[in-house]
Amino acid sequence: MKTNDFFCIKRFKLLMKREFHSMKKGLLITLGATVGVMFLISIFISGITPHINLSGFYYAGLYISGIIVAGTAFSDFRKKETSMMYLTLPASTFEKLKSQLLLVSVGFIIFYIVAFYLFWVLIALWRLILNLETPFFNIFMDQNFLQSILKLWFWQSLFIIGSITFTKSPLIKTMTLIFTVLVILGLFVLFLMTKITFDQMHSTSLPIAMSYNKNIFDSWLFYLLIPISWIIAYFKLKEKEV
Amino acid sequence: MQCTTNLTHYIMITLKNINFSYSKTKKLFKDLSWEIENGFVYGLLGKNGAGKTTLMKILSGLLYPDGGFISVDGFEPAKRYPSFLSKFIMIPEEFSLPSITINNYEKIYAPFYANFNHSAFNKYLEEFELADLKHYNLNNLSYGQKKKVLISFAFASGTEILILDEPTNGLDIPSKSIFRKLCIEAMNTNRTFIISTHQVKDVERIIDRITIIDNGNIISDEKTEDISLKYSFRFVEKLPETGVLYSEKSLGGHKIMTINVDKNPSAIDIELYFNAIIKQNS
Repeated sequence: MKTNDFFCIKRFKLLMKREFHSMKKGLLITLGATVGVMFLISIFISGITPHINLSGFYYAGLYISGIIVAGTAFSDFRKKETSMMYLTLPASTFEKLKSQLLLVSVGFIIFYIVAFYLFWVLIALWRLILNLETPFFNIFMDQNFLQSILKLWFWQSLFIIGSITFTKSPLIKTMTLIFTVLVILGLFVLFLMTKITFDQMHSTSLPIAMSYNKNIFDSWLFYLLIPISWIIAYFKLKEKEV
Repeated sequence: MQCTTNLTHYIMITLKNINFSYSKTKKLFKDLSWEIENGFVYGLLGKNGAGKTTLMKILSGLLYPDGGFISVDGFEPAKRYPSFLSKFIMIPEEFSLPSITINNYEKIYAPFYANFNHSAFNKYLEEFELADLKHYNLNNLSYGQKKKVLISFAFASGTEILILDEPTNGLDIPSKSIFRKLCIEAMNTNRTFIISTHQVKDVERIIDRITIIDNGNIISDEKTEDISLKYSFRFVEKLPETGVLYSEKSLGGHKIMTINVDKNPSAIDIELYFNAIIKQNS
């Protein structure tokens, strides 16, 4: 394999152009719907209480729309005909994955921030009519800003694997699969904790699992799962057939 | 009129002992082998379910065989390297085009093919009477019109290999002859066309080789000029008692295939030839 067969900047630009053309409609609909729903909910809340939690809106919208966008990535795989055209498009598997990842992760965040501030303008205007003040929420100064992006990328990476693997309804199928795995994992942890607590009652030393009090979502091991998921997505895409 | 000119042919595509199955119980291909030379238009014929489309998908790297060896101009299709993918275009029987204008389709997709000829594309569209629709959204065109855009794009792409699955399906009668004309025009010594079809009449004057697939294998692969020298195809009112290799009842008589004794090239009745080969193999 030539290096050019793995990555070529000229070809990648062409692919990005093509992907942007095919994704922009879905992206705009998702973001438009998110802004619409957030606006309607905030109108309702403004009628009940003068306080508004903009960070709550920001993070809820970020995760929900981010996951929808990731779950609907690789839209060419939804139909056999488009799948054939996409897989025979002269670009490498790496380029095809990278272009989707860039649009779904980085591209989405940029568009979402723009959409969020559009929502902010709309709700601020509405609340002005009601004589209510709307605080400005500076996303970039929020302490959870970067961490939330990394967490989103983790969940998105799982949904991207799902969008490559499942031909029909990948969003729902991936959600169901994640939910099932989390329930099984939860039950397993519950079983483990029960056993540890039982053992502890018969022992004087503190079990390691109990003394490890760190939130798994803040661990660097958790973030390591992002590139691992991307690698899995690469191999899934590589072995994709029609 | 065939598309080939005088040139040195070499093996462009090699398939050796290919095995493939969709289910564990039934194998579609059993040790299928086929060598495809450059500079020919191959007519890939076979009964329904013989595996023509599957074979085309395997050649394009869209399906992976269970075993065997494939080389397309030195590339393994399953790896789907861009330098391999830019060598060919496949037009499947069922296709779906993006919701963009013909102009934008050209702007977005043509740069992926280094030898794309924009003036040829415009000329082909003109031949198909689509030149005025370049600003139309592809999704607003009829199936036949979309197919003509795809055919024009494929012919203008400059790719070495063109894989066309039922290219004349959905084309109106004038467009079928335009297709034949453009095929001859677009063909050159560096290109290889593989056309799978049931509409043999649509392609009988453009194919150089007839390849027949049956029972999971290539059972015949012959140049049309060799067939026309080897066999004679005629219509007779009364069936001769000897010398008939294959015959079919027809209105007012019989269509027969015999050995071409005088060795003068005879016009090939592809349908008759196909049925004869299939019968011989069964």
